[in-house]
Amino acid sequence: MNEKQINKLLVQTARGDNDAFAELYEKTKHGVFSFLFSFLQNYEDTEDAMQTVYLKIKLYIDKYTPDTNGRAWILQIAKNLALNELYARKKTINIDDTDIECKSPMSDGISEIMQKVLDEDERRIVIMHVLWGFKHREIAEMLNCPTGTVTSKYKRSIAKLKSALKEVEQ
Amino acid sequence: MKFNKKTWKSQLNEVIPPLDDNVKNMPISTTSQASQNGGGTLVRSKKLTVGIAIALIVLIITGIALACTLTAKPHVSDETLIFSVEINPSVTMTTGSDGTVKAIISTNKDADIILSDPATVAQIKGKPLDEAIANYTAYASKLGFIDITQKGAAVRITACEKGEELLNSAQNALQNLFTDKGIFAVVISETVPFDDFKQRSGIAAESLDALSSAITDSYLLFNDRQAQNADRTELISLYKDGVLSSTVLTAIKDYFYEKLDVIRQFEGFLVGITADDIEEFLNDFTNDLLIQHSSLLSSVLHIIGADNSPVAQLLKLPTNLQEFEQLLSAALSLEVDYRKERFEALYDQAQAMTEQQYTAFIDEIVSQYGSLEDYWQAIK
Repeated sequence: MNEKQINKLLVQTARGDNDAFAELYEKTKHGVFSFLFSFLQNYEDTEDAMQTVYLKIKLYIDKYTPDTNGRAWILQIAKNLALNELYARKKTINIDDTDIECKSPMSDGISEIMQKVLDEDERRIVIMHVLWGFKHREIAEMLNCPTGTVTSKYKRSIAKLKSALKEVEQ
Repeated sequence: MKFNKKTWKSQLNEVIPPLDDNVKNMPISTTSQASQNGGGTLVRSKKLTVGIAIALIVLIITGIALACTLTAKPHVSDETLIFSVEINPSVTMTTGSDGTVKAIISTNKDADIILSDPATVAQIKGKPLDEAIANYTAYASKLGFIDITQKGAAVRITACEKGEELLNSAQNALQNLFTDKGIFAVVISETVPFDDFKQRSGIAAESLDALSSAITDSYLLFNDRQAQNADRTELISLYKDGVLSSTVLTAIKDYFYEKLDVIRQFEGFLVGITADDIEEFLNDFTNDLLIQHSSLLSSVLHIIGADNSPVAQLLKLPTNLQEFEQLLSAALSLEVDYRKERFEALYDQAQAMTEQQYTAFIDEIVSQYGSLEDYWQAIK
């Protein structure tokens, strides 16, 4: 996901270009979906949250400052939404997050396996690096931790994923 | 199932819903606060005056911006992306927006060794970037440019301005190669601005388009490019410093050592030199000495009937571009054979390592140096 491309599409969207907005959706949907899923851990809620993220992008597009970090801006919207959803969930249902069943149309997909074998930080780092294209240094700044920590967690996560995927194949 | 972005995205495509029509068709809130405010004539005319002033300022700024476009950051065709791979050796390549390699050139003389093999170039040009870079690196490893018996080699891949997704794929491909062949080498990948990329690749160009053209239209080999428009003295100098690498010198030296017994048999035919002189000469063999005594050494090989050997060809100094290119080809061929003899078997027999081993290796480097980028700076 190219930072400059995302910035350009956000700027065009801010000018009222709905085609640019549609293209923005196509370019960012994998990253947004995975990021939300890493918080919400079920597909139904993630699908709903997806639509709300893009609705909010349209609603608040005039708040986006051109040539700043467009990817991080979109991620922040997604994160705030996910945390609000989790908070609302806890208030209404009063169950621990870990009790939420991971309802999935694809039980052996990469996203599902990530939920099983990676912790929260590891999932976020993998999603941000692989799907969002953030460098380890950028992720470290966003998560407020050393770059080395991000690099080693990322390597560890990839190793765990590859091992888990091999087991699934067998 | 392999973990890679493509597979992951394809799985996600099966579950991600399309954008809801209500969201898609919802009008976008553009910044137009003025239109939302009501107001009388005075307010409207004030806004009009302000509006005209703003428009004038915008026009002035646009005028200045237009005047600056000559020195502004230049444009590259949307279809062309530019990447470099540094091991040593170093190459730079262009791809289309789909990541297929269109052109490649060596950007230092060691890369000439890699790209002198047409079969290797065929595994790079026309291939997806990640595959091309992996093939290039694999061949470099086979020729000993990455010492696979030691830990700590590094490869840096750089994108010029854009191409991060392709770069990430290339990084993954390299890491897979290293784990498959048990090579403890790190991969550093960065996207850098045009000026930084120019510095890294060593290619002089005033714009991205010019850089792209420089790569597409250039001679493939670094030394070949240097030799264009060179006079005889410059060609000999280039031959001495650019072509007669330590490997080529060693190959020439080894050849003469092997022939010493034969030279002793023909010693009676040598004038002004003995076999012992030659042996002593070989002990302190340098490219300066070779250039200085190339005629003498050629005569020796002629006397023992070895004047058609590859080494004999290398002792003839170039007088024009064509001869230089022939010498370059001969030297590169010799170097490839020499290196293959020493390193290829090691590479072919290399055992894969586990993901844990590779991760531990990376972790160790990061903990020692802070980051892979810092490691690169430290070792290069």
